[in-house]
Amino acid sequence: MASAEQRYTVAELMACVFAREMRGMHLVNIPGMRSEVPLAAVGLAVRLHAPDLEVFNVGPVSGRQLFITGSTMDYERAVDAEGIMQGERIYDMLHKGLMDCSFGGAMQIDQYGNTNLVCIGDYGHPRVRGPGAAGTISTSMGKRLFIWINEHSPRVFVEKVDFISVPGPLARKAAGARRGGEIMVVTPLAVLDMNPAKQTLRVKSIHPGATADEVRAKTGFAIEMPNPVPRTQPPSDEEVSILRTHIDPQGILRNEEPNG
Amino acid sequence: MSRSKIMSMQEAIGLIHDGDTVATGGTMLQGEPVALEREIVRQKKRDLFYVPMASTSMGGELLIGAGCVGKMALTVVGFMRYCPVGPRFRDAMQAGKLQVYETEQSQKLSSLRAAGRGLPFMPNIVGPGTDYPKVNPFMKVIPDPFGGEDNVVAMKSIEPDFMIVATAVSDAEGNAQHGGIYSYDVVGSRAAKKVIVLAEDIVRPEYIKANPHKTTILGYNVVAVVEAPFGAHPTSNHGNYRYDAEHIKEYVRAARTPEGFADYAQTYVHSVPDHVAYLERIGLRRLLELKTRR
Repeated sequence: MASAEQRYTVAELMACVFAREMRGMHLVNIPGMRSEVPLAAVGLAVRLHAPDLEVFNVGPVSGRQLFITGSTMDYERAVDAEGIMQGERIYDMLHKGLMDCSFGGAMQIDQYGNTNLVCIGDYGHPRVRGPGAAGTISTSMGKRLFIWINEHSPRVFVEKVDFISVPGPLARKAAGARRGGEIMVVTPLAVLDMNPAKQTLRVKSIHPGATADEVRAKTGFAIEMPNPVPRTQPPSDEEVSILRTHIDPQGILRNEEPNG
Repeated sequence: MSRSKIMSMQEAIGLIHDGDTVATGGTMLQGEPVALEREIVRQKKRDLFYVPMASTSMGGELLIGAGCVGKMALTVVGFMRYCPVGPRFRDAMQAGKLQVYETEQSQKLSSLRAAGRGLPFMPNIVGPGTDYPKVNPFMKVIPDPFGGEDNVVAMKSIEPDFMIVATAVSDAEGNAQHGGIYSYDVVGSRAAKKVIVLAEDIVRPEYIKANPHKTTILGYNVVAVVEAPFGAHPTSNHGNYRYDAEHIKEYVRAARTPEGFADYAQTYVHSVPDHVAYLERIGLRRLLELKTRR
């Protein structure tokens, strides 16, 4: 929700942060479970600085479709799509490492960048059963992995995830799996990335309105914090205008509570 | 020589035995053969090894909620943004009552691709470093036998006794065509011993032969062809109708409790003796509203 003093919502800020990272990219994968923020980021990036972006996902594909739907697989996108991407084929593309970036979510994420979409608690008798990984191990195989999480709290940012559904770099290395995208995480409070030397998560910038103390308190492990900590650049008037005029006139990013 | 395999829904599902491995097609609210899954519930099949080819929504919820599933090859049971974790599936998992082989989508495809090619297993690049191999006995991390640096997972073959697939049109022999995301259906049909085809319309052979490049399922291992307009409802059938968001919301609300699920099943499965009665219960007005442009 937009607070009185803010000109934008958290979802719009997230879309802008991801869009800025897409400069020069070509192939993007967006999963179908929940697609609004990534689709908005792509629409923004295409209009601003990445005219060659093409979105690939299971289902209807079209490089021209710069509008938002709840899912990339929705019928509305099939009306003037250039093709229907088949499941086998998208997984082949993902495994081949063709994607410049992909998007993922998490019920839990730990300091090593391991994420969990399977369960909270013991696997055989979980306190909370999650949706499962769907295709997210495959989508992590591109060059970069953008993770967006709509709750920055100690129950999401944990010391150790209860189930590794998508491994971070250290878990990959230990298991002889070399490939996987470079992780960047965006939450309602901050942008996080990996410290390349330690392969652990660190704060990259903190959003306007949030503080370093707040991020520390709401992260369930000791998070590396630069000093002074950079401020996430808020959406510019131009970015907000493009989003609301061209990409999201129906206001999905303004009205709907984002999903974690 | 042509042989008609046209059957009633009751006859077709009657071919399935308790304990069989049953794969189903479709994905994420699209093209699930729900009419036949309702008939599985009516016939009280038990102890099935249930293998939805991709994510499943209504089909998985009905089969799990009604107690038809002994074990399951799992990726997702849910309704996307309407309810990402299906309520009957969630309760069964949290109670520790459902035996599952937990997989990522591409890993499950590898198991079915292996069966389709007569292989005991198939390697997949994703899996090492995750906790999946710890909980899924169908998955083992193995090194590259040629000395490369990447470990892979070996996915054990899964050969379904039956693959049930929702198509758009089929001839009497089971040569069928459908749009949308059909590749999971194709992989499952190649893997299975026998295929049951659900078709919106049964057509004359000439209709299929006019566009043979559009044929997705070949009839050689099809054992039954069942005609059922709106047979994928409440999921979609590409080119014919979209998914029924209102019905999905109704289900999700109802199935929060076992009693609510039982009420839903009574209303939409047990008290409707056949598919036409089901469509009557949904109502002509709603069904026509779901039709999409061709």
